Amino acid sequence: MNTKSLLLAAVVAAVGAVSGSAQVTSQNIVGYVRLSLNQGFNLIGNQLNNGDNKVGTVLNVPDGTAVYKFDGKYTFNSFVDGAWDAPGMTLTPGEGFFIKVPAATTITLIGEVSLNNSKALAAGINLLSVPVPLAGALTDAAAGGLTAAEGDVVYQWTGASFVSKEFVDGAWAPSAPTVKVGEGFFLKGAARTYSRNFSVN
Amino acid sequence: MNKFAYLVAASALVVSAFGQGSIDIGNRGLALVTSAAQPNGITGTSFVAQVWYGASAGALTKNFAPSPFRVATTSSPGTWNPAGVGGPGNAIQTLDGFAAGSTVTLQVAVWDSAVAGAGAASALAKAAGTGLSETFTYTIPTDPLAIPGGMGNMKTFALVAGGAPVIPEPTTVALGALGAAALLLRRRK
Repeated sequence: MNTKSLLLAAVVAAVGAVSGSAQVTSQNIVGYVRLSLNQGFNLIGNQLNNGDNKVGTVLNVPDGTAVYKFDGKYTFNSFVDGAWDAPGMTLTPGEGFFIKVPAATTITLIGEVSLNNSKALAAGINLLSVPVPLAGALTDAAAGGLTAAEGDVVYQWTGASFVSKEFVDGAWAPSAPTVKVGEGFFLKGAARTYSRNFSVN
Repeated sequence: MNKFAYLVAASALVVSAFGQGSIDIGNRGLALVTSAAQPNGITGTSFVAQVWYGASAGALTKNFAPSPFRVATTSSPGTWNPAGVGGPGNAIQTLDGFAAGSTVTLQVAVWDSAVAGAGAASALAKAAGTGLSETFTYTIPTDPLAIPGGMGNMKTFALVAGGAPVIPEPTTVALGALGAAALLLRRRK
């Protein structure tokens, strides 16, 4: 998966409503993420809220595309003859998934940046993405925002296989994992909560 | 194109894209390497583990670069670090000549690289101070999206008792011979 362009447009709408002496401000950050997919398997994630986040709402893909979610085992969904086999499947921000496309293509994910994100991680293997469209070190508070725990292993997809990075004795080996916008990854570790909130301030 | 045709095409794509099998050669969280002095697992980056593999126990002809064990203060004693200095760089490696679905036989050789003369050969010969696991097998997953395993069937093993072998280096042997020759010459005079 090659990220050609990132969050190209972001519109921040701040709406202030004055009620008595209190001011309430809401932020809506909308935009899109454009991802170039290689033929075959790509490990990506949806990082923008798009209403119900149903697979048919999130993805605009060619016939023959398949999506694989992981929850201890893979759940398969294919887009054939213009329809998804399981249209109720959701792809919410913070989830990672494999997408297999019959030929190289570019997809565009649109929606709103999710400001407050908290995901319960099961003990063992979880398929994730950073829930907001930011690139950088996975454990950097300004990027991935994941708190590493002793024994964690991150698996990243190369297009044909995996590479792994483990957190042992307080350090990543062979190097700290970094993620691109729209990239999915596996995390093997202890059960905990992955929180990644976002603010324009 | 109907769904069956898509499945056939997808299967062909998987076979072509994933010809070589992958393995995770790390043992953290699995069986350990111990010694009489370190019963909870050996530590020290001079110790190295080399994973050998082949089609059967009698044909372990291929191997990965030796991985160092961890520092003395590690929270994971008895485990080696494929990403450590001199190691193969990443725990996940390609098994040369083995496709998805095939079974590979493995064995792990351990020695102290700080001991002169110690190496894979002395470990495979079960010299004192080295270690050699029992052979074990790993079946490469047919699912191309499966995270590879590898060391799951390895059993904990210990270094051979008797201390580290003291094998003089060739230069030491040569110096000793020169000294002995000099002494002999002096006595004859």
